[in-house]
Amino acid sequence: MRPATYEHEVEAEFLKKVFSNRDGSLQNTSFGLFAPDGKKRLSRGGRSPQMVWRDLDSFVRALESGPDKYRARRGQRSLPTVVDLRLGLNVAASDGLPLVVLVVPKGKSKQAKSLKQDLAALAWSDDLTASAHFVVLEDVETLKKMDGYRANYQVQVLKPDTYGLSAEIVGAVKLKDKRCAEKLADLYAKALGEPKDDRRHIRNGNRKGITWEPLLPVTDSHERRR
Amino acid sequence: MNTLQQLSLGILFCTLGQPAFAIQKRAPSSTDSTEQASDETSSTSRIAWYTSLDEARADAARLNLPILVQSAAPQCRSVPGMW
Repeated sequence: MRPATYEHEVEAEFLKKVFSNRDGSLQNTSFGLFAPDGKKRLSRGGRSPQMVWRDLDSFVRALESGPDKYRARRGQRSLPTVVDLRLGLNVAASDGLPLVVLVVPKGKSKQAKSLKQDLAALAWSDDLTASAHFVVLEDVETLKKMDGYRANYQVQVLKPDTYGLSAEIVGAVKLKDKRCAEKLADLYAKALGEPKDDRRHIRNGNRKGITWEPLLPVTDSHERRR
Repeated sequence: MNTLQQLSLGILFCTLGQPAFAIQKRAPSSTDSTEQASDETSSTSRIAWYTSLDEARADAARLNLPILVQSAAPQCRSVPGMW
């Protein structure tokens, strides 16, 4: 899993257990391997993969040590969602991927659960996996303000701007559509991000006065020194 | 952690048959060809990350999958849109 640092209080506490500075402060990045219970450590923590496993061979050995112990069970994976639209746009822009918004009816948890399961099956299908990020929304007011919004469609595919602060809706589909997977693949292709040069991205962002305010204070000493 | 390192870790998981996350092979995009042209395997693979601790823990427990944790801030020098 890849949680966003400084964006969730509970996750931040977990990430501090994965890796933190000597003073206990949360660092910008952390890496570690855990058992399926999410508690038992299978590796030490570090701020980089090399700090944890030294090299790829060591990493492979660490994984090979327990494949029988953790034999995967069959089952449908759940929809991997980002917590809200604000963060979802940023994460999708950072990865250069589409952001898929699943619109669920307000206060109807059974229907929402069913829609999430339907989209999860598509999200983890061979042709579509790892091709987008997902957000689930009940309130569509923000979506309505975006170009391309289509009412009465459960699945809206967004192309975030380069900074992940806004988006254009490139299309929408209904989950009952028999060609839903095919249409999603087409929309994903339209919503892919452009290549980015990190220096140019930062320079242009600074010129435009674009800044990101994380929900929690940045406590990484390396980041603060920049 | 750069893209190549991220993808290398993902490929290792795939190789070992422990699907803690999924790898997707896709046609190279312009991004891929620009950034990682020297490594064809890595440039065409992506990792499907869980981004929520609760969801990752729930699926890992239910499907008996070890959890690889990688955290990062979606900002670079306070500018969003880049890890």
